[in-house]
Amino acid sequence: MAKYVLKRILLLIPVLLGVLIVVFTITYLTPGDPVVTILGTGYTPEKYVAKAAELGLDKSYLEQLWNYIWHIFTRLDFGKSYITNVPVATELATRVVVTAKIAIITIIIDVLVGVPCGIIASTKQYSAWDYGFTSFALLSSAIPSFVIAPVFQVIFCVKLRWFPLAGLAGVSSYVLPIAVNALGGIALITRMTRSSMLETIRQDYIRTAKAKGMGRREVVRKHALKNALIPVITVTGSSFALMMGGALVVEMIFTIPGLGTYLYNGITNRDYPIINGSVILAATIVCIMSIVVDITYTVVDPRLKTQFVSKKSGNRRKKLAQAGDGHV
Amino acid sequence: MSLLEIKNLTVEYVLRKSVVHAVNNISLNVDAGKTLGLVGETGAGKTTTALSIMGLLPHPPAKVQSGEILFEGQDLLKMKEHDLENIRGNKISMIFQDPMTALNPVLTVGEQIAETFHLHGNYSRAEAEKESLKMLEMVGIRPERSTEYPHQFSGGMKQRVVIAMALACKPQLLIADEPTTALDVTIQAQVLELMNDLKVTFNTAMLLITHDLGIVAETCDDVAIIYAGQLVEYGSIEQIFDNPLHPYTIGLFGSIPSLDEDVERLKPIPGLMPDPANLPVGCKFCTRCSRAVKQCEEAEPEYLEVEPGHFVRCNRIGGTDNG
Repeated sequence: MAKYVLKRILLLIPVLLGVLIVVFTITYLTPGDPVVTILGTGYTPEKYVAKAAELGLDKSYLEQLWNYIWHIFTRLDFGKSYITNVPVATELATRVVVTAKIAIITIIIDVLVGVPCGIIASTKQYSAWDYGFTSFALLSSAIPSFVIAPVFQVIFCVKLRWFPLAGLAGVSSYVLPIAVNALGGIALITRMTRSSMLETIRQDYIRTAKAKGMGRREVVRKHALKNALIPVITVTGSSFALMMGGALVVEMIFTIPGLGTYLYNGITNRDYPIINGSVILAATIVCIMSIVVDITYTVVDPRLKTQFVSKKSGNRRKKLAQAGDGHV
Repeated sequence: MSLLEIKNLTVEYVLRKSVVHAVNNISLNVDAGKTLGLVGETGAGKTTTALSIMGLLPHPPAKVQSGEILFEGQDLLKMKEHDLENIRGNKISMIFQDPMTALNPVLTVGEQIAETFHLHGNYSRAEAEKESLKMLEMVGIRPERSTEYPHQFSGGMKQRVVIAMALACKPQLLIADEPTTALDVTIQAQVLELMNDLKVTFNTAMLLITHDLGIVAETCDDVAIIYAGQLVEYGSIEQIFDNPLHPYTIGLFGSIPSLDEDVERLKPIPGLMPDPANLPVGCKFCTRCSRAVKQCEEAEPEYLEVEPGHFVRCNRIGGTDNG
């Protein structure tokens, strides 16, 4: 198992390298001159050349690419913002904390609310609970966050004055962004849990468990849940990774200094180091999340575990066979 | 009093557009330590009968319309869910048809057997585990394998695990729903032998559901032939095998290849079972019966005792019209 994890982590390196090259190349090829952006209008040719040399933009594509990669791998240096001159790495480090806070709390709420709702909806299929939860889920996944967020702002900030309208000032300013973010996630996880549970509780082994004399609740808890959670884990993992990339809409509406706003600003200002840095960070998070999700699978489903450690068990089988075991 | 008495059981599947008459007025007895074979084609209502004993009919759409299922004199159909849970897996247990899907893929086989001990009786975790190892050994699986998962076992081994699970609490009644259908022939023989041994060891009564008359001959004391949800013939194994009376029973025997006779073709029963949502008025078998007369299409035959313990439902046998 440890071997598998190590393999997956090592595989990250070529993947991220690929991302680096692609992202760098795209921004390199994008029309628009960063030097002009920085200097604005009314610069002399000497100034232009000096600035380009300072930024290393006078070098060839390959040299620039090599420098970029080298700096990242040796000292985690993603370059400096053209506009503010602040190192991208520093900015990313502070902003990732803000985004992570929102993403982690959101995903915890999503799972804590979505999974039980899904279980109730599926075990009481076609009941009022089921209709209630599924129509709530349908509704909240149908309304986009750029509609929900302003509505929440009007209700909770302007009318009720419970939370600040925007910006980051203490705990209370996290409430609405998380609420808006969580709503969609809860809907998704509720629907996922419900459909997966409905499929699971019709399986033969659930009938076997009932035939043992196990009560309904225990059957759901001990037999159905673990089997039904596999697709839920997938959805949870990918929606967490997505949020870590920055919940752009929510961050923009509530003007939260997270990764989403940073990337947005970078794009509007043609601030290439910011774009590159943000995309690479997002890619890294997505990759790491997919490893975490895969490892979680093996905890839940032993069939996958044997796939990963198949070599080891293969040897053991062989040994057993040699020991004259007829059953294997 | 028999251990299990089913009286006039009628089960329907109520669907949106139609009502499927799966089990129609069936009465059966299983005595302690005896084996009753329930024989019929696919869709004849065998499994529905079994599931209604277990109280595991999928509801909706299944609905028990009438009848009683008396186990030790108590009507299982009227029992509270909680009391049923105490009986299930403890006094009555069931072996399911398909061992491939009957085990939970994410729990070890040891855990799944130990669960039964947990549920019925005051076993500690360690004791339940120890008992489950004993059960595994009894069905011929090395106890070390209890920590393995179902996907690491072959089909025959899985069925052994299912049997171990079913026998864990030494039930008084074991319902085996085509326990060997999913297995190949050599494993079939092993599993049957195992079940026979266990039956003798624990004096367990068994309701064996099958469509294989060979298995019936090997294991059963009594036989009930079921067709379109009705019993068409019911008697001891000698009565049914030596003197089959109902044309359907005779047809079933005619479909088995014999080693003694050299025949070109088998004689299958022509046609298909009637649609259980739209059963004929008269004899349910009349559309396929070579001996059917006009009377068969119009009047439902009576269920008559032609000799002590031997019942037949046919217009052409017993009663006034004999022959």
